[in-house]
Amino acid sequence: MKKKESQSKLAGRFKGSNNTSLFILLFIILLGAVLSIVSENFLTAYNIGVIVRQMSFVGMAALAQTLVLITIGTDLSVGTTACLANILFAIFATSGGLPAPIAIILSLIICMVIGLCSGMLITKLKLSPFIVTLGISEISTGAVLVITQGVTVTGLEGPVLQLGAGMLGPVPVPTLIFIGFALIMAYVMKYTPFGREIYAIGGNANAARLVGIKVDRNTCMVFSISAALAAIGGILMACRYSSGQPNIGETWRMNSITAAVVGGTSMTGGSGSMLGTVIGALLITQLSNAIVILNISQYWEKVVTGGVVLLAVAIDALRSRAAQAAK
Amino acid sequence: MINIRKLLAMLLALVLVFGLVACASSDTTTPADTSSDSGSEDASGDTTPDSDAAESGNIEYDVVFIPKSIHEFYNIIRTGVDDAIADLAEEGITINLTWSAAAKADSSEQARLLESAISLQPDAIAIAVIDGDMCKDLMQQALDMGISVIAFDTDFEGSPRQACVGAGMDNQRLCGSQAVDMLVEGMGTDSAQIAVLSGSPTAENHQIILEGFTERVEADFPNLEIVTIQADNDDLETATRITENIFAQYPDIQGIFGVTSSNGLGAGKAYQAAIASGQFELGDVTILDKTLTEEKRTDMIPAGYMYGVLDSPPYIMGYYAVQMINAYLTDGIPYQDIEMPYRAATAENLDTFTDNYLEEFADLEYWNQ
Repeated sequence: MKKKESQSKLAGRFKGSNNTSLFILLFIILLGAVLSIVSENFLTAYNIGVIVRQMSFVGMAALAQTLVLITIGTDLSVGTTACLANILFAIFATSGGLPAPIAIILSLIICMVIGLCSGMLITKLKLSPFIVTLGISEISTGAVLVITQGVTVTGLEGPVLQLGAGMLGPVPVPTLIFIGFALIMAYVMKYTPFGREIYAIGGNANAARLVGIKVDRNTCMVFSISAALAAIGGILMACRYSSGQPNIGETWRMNSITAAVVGGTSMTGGSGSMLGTVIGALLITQLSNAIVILNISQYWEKVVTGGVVLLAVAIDALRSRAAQAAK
Repeated sequence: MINIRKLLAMLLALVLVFGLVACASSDTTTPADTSSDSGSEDASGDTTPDSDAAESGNIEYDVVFIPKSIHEFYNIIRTGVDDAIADLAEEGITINLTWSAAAKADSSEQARLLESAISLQPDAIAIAVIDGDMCKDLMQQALDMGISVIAFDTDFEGSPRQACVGAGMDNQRLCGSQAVDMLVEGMGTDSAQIAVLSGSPTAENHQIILEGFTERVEADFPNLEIVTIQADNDDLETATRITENIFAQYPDIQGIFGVTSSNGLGAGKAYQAAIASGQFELGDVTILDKTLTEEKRTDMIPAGYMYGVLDSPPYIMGYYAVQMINAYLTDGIPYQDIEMPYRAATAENLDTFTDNYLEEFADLEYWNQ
């Protein structure tokens, strides 16, 4: 009983409250208001649908990134894991002749095993998450190229494509899936022992270990779940394009980190929220939309996104210092 | 008891070692039943004809191809290369092919691959140069060592290559100009809003095509309004995203031109989704780009999500590159540049496009004349 109480206190200390996502939400509303004044085509049902659909795919990778950021560090393999899942699913469902649900499950299992390998290398060999996920990322990229030789895997068909391309009323199906997973992850992080332990590990792994939290096991689980979330993003992309594309997810690494950090997840671990990440993903998608609406060169998007990340990280650092000073 | 860390480390090392062994030479193609004689250089390092040896069926050449990257476009070239090698094998000429492609189009990585290729001292190197400045000296070094060097797909100003097969600078510019005509034909009007997906700003050929396109619009089509030119970095996903944003901002858009082989496809996917959501109807937007890939041939163009492509068939490019090298090495036929103009492929001529192209440009095979 005492052990559980101490775990809960420890987790609570690091979870903390986070107003960054609230500020970002206000910024999104403000930007939206400006864009709707500048262009009558911004606030249309079609454009809103476009924004929320675009947000969904990279958003899945951002949920994966958030989980790892809260726990231990950056996962550089989310985009390539998504790409691998995208290709595996397409191959299983086409030339493999497997029913779509089986193809999805099989792809997820493979990616989860890869995630588990990352976790084991980090926890058992005490390797840096940065290096391990970079290595896994290169292996996944290489595997995709070996499997496909750079060629698109075509021939995906059937109702499964609705997962990536369908609409449920005015709402894109992938958006519903993304929001669904975000809510599930938010619940897991806030209301389950696993979630609380993750915050505790991210805040101070040694302290977490002392109060009896199984740090290594949880870290492995985190990487496995993270890989699964990224893989779902990749599978949704395959459904969207009705094919497996060997270069999907190339931009997801940076975008996923951006969405998480902008949404209030700390780069030093121990704090952050899934719903904040949803808001972060919405912001980067809206910025991308604004670039075209304002007819600015697409290369400014990188400048703007980089600036937003730096701003969010700086705010995070200042907040951490303020919290330290308050103690 | 063995420590789990040591076990994992050993396991990793084993996987790496076996992986390397398994991968060794996996990208090197050698036709079956090859014979021995590979000597085709004289003492000075100059390459000399080997036609006598060909008659006796014992010629063997080592050839390295260096494309820009692993990409569907270059896979089609590779198919042409492989078929040419198979045809030559029937004539008793063995080509040992090393296909040396980087995962991504990276100029410094390509220079490294070229350096490695030179160290193999092959009979010939064929390269699709990304950055002329990075490769120029290395190409000259190869030539100085007696290695034959040709360019395929792309060329650059002042290249020391002995020949080039592909759409050269002028043809790239012409491609942009042709795209305007094709777009107007597809839209059925020369008064419309259009947009361009401009690929990568660092890729010289993308920029030349873009210049050709915009210059033609400015010169001859005053009522075509280019509402936006957006760089998609030759990335399908980015092209899709940008096109969706273009559709939202410019609901009256009627034409989109992608300067690369994948961005029109991305635009087509966005168009497909826009039709599904009721924003557009089939036939509202004309989309075209470069290169007839499998997905465009079997799906996007027949379904109407893309109007067509401008293609300078990569298959033929690969086939000709090998034939040129062989003609030079075996028969001493001096190299000639082969300019492969772009031609339009639409739903009307998809099935006959390649045959028609070969028929139209049969005289490109200078080694047969």
